[in-house]
Amino acid sequence: MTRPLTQPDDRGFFGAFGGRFVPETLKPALDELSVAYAVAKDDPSFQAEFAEALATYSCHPTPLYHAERLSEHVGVPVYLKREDLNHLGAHKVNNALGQIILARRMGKKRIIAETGAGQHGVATAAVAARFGLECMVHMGEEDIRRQKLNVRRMELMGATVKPALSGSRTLKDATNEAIRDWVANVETTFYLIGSVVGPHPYPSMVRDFQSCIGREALAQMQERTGGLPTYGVACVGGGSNAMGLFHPLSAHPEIELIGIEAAGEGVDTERHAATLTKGFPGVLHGAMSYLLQDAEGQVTEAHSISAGLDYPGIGPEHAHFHTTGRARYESATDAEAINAFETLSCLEGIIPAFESSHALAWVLRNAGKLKGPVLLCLSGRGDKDMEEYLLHKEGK
Amino acid sequence: MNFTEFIAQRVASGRKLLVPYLCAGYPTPDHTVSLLHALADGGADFIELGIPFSDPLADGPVLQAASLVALRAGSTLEKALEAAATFHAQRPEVPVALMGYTNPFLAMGAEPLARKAEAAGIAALLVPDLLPELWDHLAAPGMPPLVPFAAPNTPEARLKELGSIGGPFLYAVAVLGVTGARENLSDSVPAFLARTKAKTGLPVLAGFGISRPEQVPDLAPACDGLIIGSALAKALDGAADPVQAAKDFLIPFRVAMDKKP
Repeated sequence: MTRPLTQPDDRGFFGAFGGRFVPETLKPALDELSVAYAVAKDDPSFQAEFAEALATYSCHPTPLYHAERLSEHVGVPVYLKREDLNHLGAHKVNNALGQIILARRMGKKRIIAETGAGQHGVATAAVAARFGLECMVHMGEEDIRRQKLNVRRMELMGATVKPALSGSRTLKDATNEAIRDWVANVETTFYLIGSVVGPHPYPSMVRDFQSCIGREALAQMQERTGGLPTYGVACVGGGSNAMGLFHPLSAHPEIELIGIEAAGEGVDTERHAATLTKGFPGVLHGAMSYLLQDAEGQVTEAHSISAGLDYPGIGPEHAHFHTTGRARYESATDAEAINAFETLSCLEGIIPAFESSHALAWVLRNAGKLKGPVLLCLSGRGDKDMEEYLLHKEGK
Repeated sequence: MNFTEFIAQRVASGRKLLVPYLCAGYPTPDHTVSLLHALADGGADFIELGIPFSDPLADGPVLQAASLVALRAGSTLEKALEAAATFHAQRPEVPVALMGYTNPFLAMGAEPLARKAEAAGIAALLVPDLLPELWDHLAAPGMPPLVPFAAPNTPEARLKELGSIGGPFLYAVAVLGVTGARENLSDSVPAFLARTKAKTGLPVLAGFGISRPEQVPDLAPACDGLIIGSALAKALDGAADPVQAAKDFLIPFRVAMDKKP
């Protein structure tokens, strides 16, 4: 028996989370976007164009891979949904394609995006080049310094990278700058958000564009094993690959959904990004969700070795799943993620992104205790993390 | 007389309201009460006391920096309310409204906030990232009235809706963009202010981008008053005597606004 999938209410809330906590200036733009997306969602020509782009610009359906040696290692079959094989090496391009096709239908000429380590920025720059639209990526000055190669890739594809100079000069501040840019240029500009965060309708729209992950994986699991996985596992920063996997799976109450946050140097230190584990509800970047913040409601800085998980907020639908118990959220430390990064590389010849390594770390931690097949979203490849990995090893 | 009546009375008397925005705790929390007095001395009709936030997404560089300085100096919502209470006890004729982002208000909790705001004589609450549809998130007995915002891109039907939601006044955001002084405002601003006034039926105070007394003759006739924030923060930045600087900054605006056309 399947259950109905969650949808936001009229004000854009999943239970107590989500909504539109934005200045009045953005209300008309969000109304326009909501209407445009609702029309596109039910329009077969939009869906066909999106499916074609997923299949030919990237490579969907991405394979489901039975990781045999890893399975042997942990005692149950482990299936990896190979989102690392997407164009540009991560699931980010799925959402970027969906939004840019929508932006073009809406007649928007200028695309803006925020990026942390640069994965979403690179995906946005790529699709903007593909569709011939002007593109500006806001990126924290600190991240620009740490991720020179991604900055050059974006520039090579014709995007302008604008340094965010406020606050901690990382993803949170790049997002503030992107919102400020949008407020100032709202009539011409489309804000292409990179995760299931931000004001309604972004969390449900980005989720829909990423849901190919879960839909394909379910069909592939059933074809391959004749059944469902016992566990659906994914890493969670903002939470787009996780919600892309979880949402279709959530129709099946027998599947346990497990999201893994970044515990950084440990959830009992001040250096982590475990929003659901250690945060409490609040408003950031246009939505009510869980948030790392102090007692005064000031947002605190997150830390993770994985730049993609280094965010003090989380998508509102995850906060809802956490509250209702539909998904369980745990965390993995930097050290556990590094260990998983090495283990998958050695056992399978697949170098996982640091982000995905957090999800793998949960599987390794539970070796011998797992009750059935694991479906894990391998959200990205780890080539981008080699430099950081070597620095980490030298530091030991 | 409640705050709505206070505004209505000033508007009826033909006086244009002058409303400075002061970031609480800037440059330090010890300055707040004396700066409130200086602004009252300089001719403020009422004062917006801003609550610093780590992620002020409607603010430009000047107020972002002021917010950061205030936070580092230990500014909190609690301390801002204490400063407002002290000022209110000394000078109840100059109301203080709180302006701040949703999250610090939620962190205190709507009920404690309402209780403390009422005790401090807070006249109104301005929350730039809380649309009227979400005002229920700050609903509590005794909460001061919330103020709706409108922007140049707000459709006419929405202006009417904002008028029926009501409030002591409407905050008209004069530009598409963030707070911050601009040399020149678009020629279309007076028309936007007039449209907003006509469609909402509320007293309209204009803010964002107003930095010089020379702008007053163009703007003041089209609305009921002006709100000045970033330019004041700039004037306080590095001032040897911030209290004197605040007063000196405001007086020319008062003079310009009282000049009959």
